[in-house]
Amino acid sequence: MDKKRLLVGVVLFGSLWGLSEVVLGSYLRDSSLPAGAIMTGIFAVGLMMMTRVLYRQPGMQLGMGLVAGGLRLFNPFVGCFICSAIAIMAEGAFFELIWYRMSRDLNELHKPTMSISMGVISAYTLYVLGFIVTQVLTPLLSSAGFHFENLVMFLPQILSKGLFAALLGGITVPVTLLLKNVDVSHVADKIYYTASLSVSALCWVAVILNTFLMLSA
Amino acid sequence: MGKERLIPLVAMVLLLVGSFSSLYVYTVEGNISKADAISINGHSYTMDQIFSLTKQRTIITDDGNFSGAALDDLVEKTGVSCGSCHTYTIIGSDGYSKTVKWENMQHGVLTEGKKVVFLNLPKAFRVRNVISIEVK
Repeated sequence: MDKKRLLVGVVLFGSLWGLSEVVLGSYLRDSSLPAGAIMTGIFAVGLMMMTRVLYRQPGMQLGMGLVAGGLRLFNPFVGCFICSAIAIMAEGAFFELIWYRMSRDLNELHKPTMSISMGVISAYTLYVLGFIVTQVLTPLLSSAGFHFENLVMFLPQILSKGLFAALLGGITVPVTLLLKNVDVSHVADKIYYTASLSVSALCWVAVILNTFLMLSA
Repeated sequence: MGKERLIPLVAMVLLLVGSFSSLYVYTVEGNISKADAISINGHSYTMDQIFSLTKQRTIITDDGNFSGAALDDLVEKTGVSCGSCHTYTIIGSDGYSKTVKWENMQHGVLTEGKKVVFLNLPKAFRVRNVISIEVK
């Protein structure tokens, strides 16, 4: 697949991820639901896995993390937004590392045991490492400073909360693999670029509008 | 060891880590007293004592106003003579803890719902269901 198509794919799926983090993530947090586990186990793993299946191109997920994290920076209303943005970018990088040894056609995942296991590994690792990145960066960028003992004391909670993300990931990856026979390279250029860029633009406009709405509220 | 054996094994280990951590957290939280008291610098105070001892403060954040006992006044009234000489670790019942400086305490409140909120720190520094404030 040509690089222009891949780049547009990165922007599209990264924007969808960023939008879901900003809008849905905030809604889930306000509703006292396990937002982090749901966002990682379903949206982060699901969208990154979707691009692995549809485009079969390693490296895209790192780019998606950069786009999603970039979009997160435009919504500076939930906690330390720079830290959240970096945590999202880090999730993209961790996903690349976890899936580094997998073949492009993902033929290792034909058995349900393998796809479920990869879902569990991906979601649990991304959740735990993403949480740790945020817990380290937020104090570092504040006037209080980072204290290692604070992280150690809360580590059992982080490892415990990751269990729900892992279970969700164990469902998300096998479901995403149902897209294995979809070939995006057969979509006509005009439709592909128009649809992808329009949806991406909508995501960015929605986040920026949300920011202005919150500012004027 | 091939991928077909290694990957399910790693997944099982992670699930076990998550399960045992949940068990540990559940046990520890279950053992924490549900009494209406907070340990401050090694001494136990009820919420009524805390609110009768200290002056009140309201802070305005981007997600609302929070009123409660002024944290700097609270530690002073409970026996800390040199506030700026120490750091303060706020610990919640779930083990969540945050260590802050005196300048942060001067802009922080302990609400009636036992939640600590700081004006000049990100939301990650909010500790719910506070059980202890350690002076270091």
